[in-house]
Amino acid sequence: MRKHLFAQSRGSVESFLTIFPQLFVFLVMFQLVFMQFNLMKDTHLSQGEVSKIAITGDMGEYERYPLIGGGYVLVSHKVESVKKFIDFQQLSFKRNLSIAVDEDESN
Amino acid sequence: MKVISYLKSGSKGSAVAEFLIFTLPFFTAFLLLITSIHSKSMAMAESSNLSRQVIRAFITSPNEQLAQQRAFQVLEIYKSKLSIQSRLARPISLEITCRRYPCFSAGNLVTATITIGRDQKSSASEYVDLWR
Repeated sequence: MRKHLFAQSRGSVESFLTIFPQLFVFLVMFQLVFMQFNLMKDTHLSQGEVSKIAITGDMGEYERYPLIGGGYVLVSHKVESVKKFIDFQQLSFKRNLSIAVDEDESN
Repeated sequence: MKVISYLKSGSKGSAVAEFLIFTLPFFTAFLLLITSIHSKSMAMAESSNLSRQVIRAFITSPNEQLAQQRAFQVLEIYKSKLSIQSRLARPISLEITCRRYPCFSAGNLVTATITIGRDQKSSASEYVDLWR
């Protein structure tokens, strides 16, 4: 084992042995970073949209819950699949939850 | 010249050993860093928004009796939408403090503090309307 690890390597096969795992790990990392930033972006955009709806009263994809004493709570709950660079034939899902208070006119 | 000749010179070594020694520790550290930054920023965004909405529900209450209930209702609605694993892993708690008591008095400063998990805390403050 030690002999194999510290043996000197030359040629294209050895080069491939180094490059291939590095490329794979790099792509996995890139996938994670992309996924995380995408999730952050979607969370902030969705929250902004629900907050805007709570102020302007527009229509959109949200659930409306009545609040004790007047007003409503708007909740946007989306579950979407994640875009992937490396596909392992498995879909991954992200949950996006936003909430805003829609005040009653009399309050 | 020395630098160029050094760069052009060949380096002998083991591909497997180099991958294990240099690449894997770097990528592992990078992965941990990225994951912790992501979870921290998501928790910050979640807690600060939740505290803002909770305090909004509190100060827009028609009377003092309903103010606390409204604040906790917003929190409960939010919690009900989270998965069971998420609720167990990151418990969310709410604390409402006021500059003076009774809390729901005109011009009083009310602060809602949301705690997510063990260490993520965010606060939002608003004044109760002067004409109440």
